[in-house]
Amino acid sequence: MKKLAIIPAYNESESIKNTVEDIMRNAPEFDYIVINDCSTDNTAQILRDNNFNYISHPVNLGIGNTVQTGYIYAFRNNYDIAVQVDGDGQHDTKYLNEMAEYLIKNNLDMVIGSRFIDKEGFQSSKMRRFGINYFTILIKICTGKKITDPTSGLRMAGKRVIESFAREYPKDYPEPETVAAILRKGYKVEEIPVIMRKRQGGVSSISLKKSVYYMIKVTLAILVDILRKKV
Amino acid sequence: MMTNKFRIILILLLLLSLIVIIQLVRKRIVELKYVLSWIIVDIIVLIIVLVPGLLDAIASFMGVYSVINMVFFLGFCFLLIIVFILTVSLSRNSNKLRKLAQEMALRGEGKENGEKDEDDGQ
Repeated sequence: MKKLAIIPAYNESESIKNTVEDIMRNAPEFDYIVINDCSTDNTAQILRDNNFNYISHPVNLGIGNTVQTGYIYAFRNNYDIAVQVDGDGQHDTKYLNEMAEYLIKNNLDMVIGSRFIDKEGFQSSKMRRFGINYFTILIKICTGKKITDPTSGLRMAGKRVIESFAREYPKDYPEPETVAAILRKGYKVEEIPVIMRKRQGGVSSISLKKSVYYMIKVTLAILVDILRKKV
Repeated sequence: MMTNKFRIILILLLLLSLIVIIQLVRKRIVELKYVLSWIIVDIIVLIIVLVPGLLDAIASFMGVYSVINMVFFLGFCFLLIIVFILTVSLSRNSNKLRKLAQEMALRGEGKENGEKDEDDGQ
């Protein structure tokens, strides 16, 4: 079983070292790859100086494409499992092994770490939870499956999903959209409860103004996906 | 409806834009593929201006009372079409750019490795 942790990094000089060392310590059977999305700070230098395994985009492509590069890497190097770990310290890497075991044991295509099963730890703001609930309902209507935390970035993908993501992945706000698409393909997705921390550094990529765009874009994306042929 | 003086000004303007566009293609600043629509429209408008009564004929054929309304309407439709075609082209290009950049990164030829290569050469 080859397992890979994908770490997208854009100007993460403060936290990237911790994130990588965290994975080495907590999930040693995972290989990792940092995808440096043409950072303008010294992220690349830190990666090089520490001899971390990383690749760099020649131009800035944004978070969605950066994660996708990781999945293409996973696909080409024949990984069985790939998990995305954000560089901002929100995700506790001690869950990686648990998620992998759960995925293998239940023969799943994707495992999502959900904040809202046990409702412990950082629960996000009221406004955000409202938006998350909305996506839960939308995905339930479109696919029949209840996903309590469709915006969770802590997601582990099996072989079939790696291949699918390597082929097609949204440019921005990919989480709810891709969960819906994966479910529609008939792949098996389950959630396990996790505790997330408040982000340790940086700001959320989703401001209030952007959240309107987020809701509209993701809703349309999920609805358009229904019109696509099942592959 | 058009004075001869205005007609001449229009003809000169249209010829001038046609020359500018063709010059830009000649110098390879713009791609012929993308200015073809502009060239065709320029020539169509030129014909309309050169043939008196043509505009009124088209307007009455389309059932439009006011000729000038028809001109604005057609112009607006044409612009929308061109802008939309550009949106399609932009999407296609951004996809190609993404694939290129990802491929470069995966082959280890991203930004930083390029810099290293330059150092090696010195």
